[in-house]
Amino acid sequence: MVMKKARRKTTAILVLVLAAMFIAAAMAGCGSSPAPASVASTGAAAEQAASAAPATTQPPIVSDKPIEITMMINDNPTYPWNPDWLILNEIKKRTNVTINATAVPAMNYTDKFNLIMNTGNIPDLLVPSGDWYVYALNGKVLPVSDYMSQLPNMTAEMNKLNCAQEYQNTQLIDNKNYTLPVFTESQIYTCGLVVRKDIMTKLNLQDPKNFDDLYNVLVKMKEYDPKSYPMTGFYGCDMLFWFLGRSFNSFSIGGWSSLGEVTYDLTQEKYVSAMTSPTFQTILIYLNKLYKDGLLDPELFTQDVDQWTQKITTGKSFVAYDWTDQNSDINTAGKNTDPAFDFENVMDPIGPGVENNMYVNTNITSRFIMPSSVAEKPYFNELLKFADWLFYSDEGTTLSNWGVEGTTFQKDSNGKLAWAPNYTSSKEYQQKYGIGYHESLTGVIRTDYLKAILPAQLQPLQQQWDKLNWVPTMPTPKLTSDETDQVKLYQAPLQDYFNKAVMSFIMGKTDPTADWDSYVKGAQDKGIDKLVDIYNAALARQGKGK
Amino acid sequence: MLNYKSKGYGIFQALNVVFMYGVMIACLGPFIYILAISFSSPEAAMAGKVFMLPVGFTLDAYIAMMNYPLFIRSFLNSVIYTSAGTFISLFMTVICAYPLSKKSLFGRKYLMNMVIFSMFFAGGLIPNYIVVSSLGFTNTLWAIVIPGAINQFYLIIVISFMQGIPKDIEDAAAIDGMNPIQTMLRIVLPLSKPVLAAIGLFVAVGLWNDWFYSLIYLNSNTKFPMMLFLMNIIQGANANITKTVSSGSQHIGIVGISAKTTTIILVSLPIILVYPFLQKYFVKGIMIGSIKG
Repeated sequence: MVMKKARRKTTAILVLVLAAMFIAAAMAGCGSSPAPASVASTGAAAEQAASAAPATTQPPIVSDKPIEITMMINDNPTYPWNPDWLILNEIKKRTNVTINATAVPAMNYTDKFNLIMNTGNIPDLLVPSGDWYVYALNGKVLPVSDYMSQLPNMTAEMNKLNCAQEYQNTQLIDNKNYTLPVFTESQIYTCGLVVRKDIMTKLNLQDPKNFDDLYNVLVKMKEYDPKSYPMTGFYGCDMLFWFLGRSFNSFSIGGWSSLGEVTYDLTQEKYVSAMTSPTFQTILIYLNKLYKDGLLDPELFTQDVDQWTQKITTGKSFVAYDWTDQNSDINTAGKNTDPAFDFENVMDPIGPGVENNMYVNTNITSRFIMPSSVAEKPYFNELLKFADWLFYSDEGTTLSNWGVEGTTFQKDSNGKLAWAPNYTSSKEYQQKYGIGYHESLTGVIRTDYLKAILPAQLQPLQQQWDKLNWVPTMPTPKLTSDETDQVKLYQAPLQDYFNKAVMSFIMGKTDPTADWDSYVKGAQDKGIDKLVDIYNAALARQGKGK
Repeated sequence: MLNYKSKGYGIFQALNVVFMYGVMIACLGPFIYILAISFSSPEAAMAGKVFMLPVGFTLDAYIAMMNYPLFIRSFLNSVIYTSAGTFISLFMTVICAYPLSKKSLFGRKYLMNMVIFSMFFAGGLIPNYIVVSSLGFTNTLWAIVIPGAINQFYLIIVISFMQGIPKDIEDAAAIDGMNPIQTMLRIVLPLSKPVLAAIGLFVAVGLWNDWFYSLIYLNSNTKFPMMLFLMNIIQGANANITKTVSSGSQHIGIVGISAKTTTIILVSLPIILVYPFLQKYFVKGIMIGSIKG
């Protein structure tokens, strides 16, 4: 049967298109993902690696054979993971270890984490998320406390920072510790009250020393611009309560507290209800006063960062709580509206009836875990040695915070570290070199690094910050699985009740003074006292409570 | 006799048009707003001065986004996944649909029952993941393209359409000595072009929009498609805020509004450009499996 010419042509085109698609698909499929091999080399390759190293370097710190380890971390969109980073090459050079990392978009990290933990094939090092302790109690996570002898640098760092107690607090109910902690050496001023300094100067106002001062400042600002709402915020009440807690001497209450509506009383040394405490009532009365007098932005409770930024830069609001790293962007944008625009951080006002604000010193700010399957791998000892070196040794932390001497930093005559001449900003260094990437490659966030990236205008604040009295973190109660279930049962309705009641108090629908008792009764009906008792019982079990 | 030009009808027309315009503005409004922000200077965007027209027209955001690490890569990835996936899906759907459309197929009833049963009951996320990873597909193109290649609903649409092709044509082909495969390729396939275009379009849009399967199966960020990249840009940074609350790190990394809006526009652009030409296939396609007059 002779094919007609047209049909032959269509067939030919079809075949070509098919072939092209298949080739494209195959090429995309042949990805560059290296196979997660264990010890990758044979004797010949090892000799090659050893002989390739120049004769003057010292023996490799971790391993004399090339090893590849897998990691899973949060991918920060500002500096996405780049396998060609200087820090990764340097790590490979010094330790013979290649890191093969899965960078997961941060928003979905918990989903992927749960999926990976449930289906096996867990990477060697990963950042835990969500209810990871459940996997630990089921034996899926390596108990680090069993291997402390192989982590000398970590022990040394813990003793140096005096946070062995804090690390012990992170033990789970089986009295084992499953995490490789990420330490922050000391607290740097990162967030607090931010005001429009230019408006303050114009109205002859001083930085508010306490909350009455703050009230007067806001009133004067409202007189200056009656259409404005002088104080605003974002992320709703939770963020406000976190900041105000520092001044009112209470551990945070609400969504940003690890215990929700319960807090820890430092004098009584036990857990108490935060949502029904007198301190919280004082906070609500104050916020209600601000709201009634039109000083607090009603949209504070629902707006997001972008809307908040717009309000600040267009001069609709003048005071807020915020972190420091947005200030330079806001100031540049604000100068378009008003050439004198100056949005700067100041020290927090001191709370009513207290001498000093309460700032919590957290030394352990993040953590890594390893799956228990890693103990079977042939490079397990090298893996522990590597983690110990990179995260906690002096050389490792210098590499992950500062980078490579001569390229990214240099030493001055006193041996103090300073940035190299080509330094522009910490963000650019992170993006370009991968150093200062605290989400994944750092075990100690060093003070000298944080001070070196601190902008000049924050130095005076930092000096005041260094003189403050710091309190230790709230102890975490270690709950059995039954108790965890019970806690979850109480927490959800209490949270709803709390959220609704708070909004209604601040907006004046209910009176924080007159209607307080019925609110407390409502909370007790929902089981706040029982929740507190569960926590205190767990505390007593650990031998700490009264 | 009906008078079509009655007053009531005129009023109805007018109200209808106004309502439709309202719907159109409601749909277009946010999009134009985002378009305007993406072309505005970052300061104006931050200050909230942008309404419907760009303020301080600048292409900086677009240039910066094009140079963003992995942006072009993720675009190419999306194109590859969509085209390979659509082709594989259509191919598999056709070779499944043709035999199932023949009533004389042995065991047809049971096969159709299996297809319909699997429409309602699926294994769930973790068993799926275990199957796909044990086949060695993780971190490759195949994990995105193969598991969802045959969608039962589309399969049934194609089957119905193929049943609508008159049997006489195929009988004539058989008389001329064609075997079933030749019949399928030369007679049925060209006649099925409308339904394949429609199904292909649905599959392509589904693959273009996919981020979930890429999230769970892909590990290296050089393989992420555009949607995952976009999600990372828009939402990823904000999730870190509670972590950095107690840490000494200043790296919250909240991405500027210009970057977000620019990414939105760039990601929607391909679909917007293609859609007007394929619109009629969408409209025709979904009804195509139904009974013909």
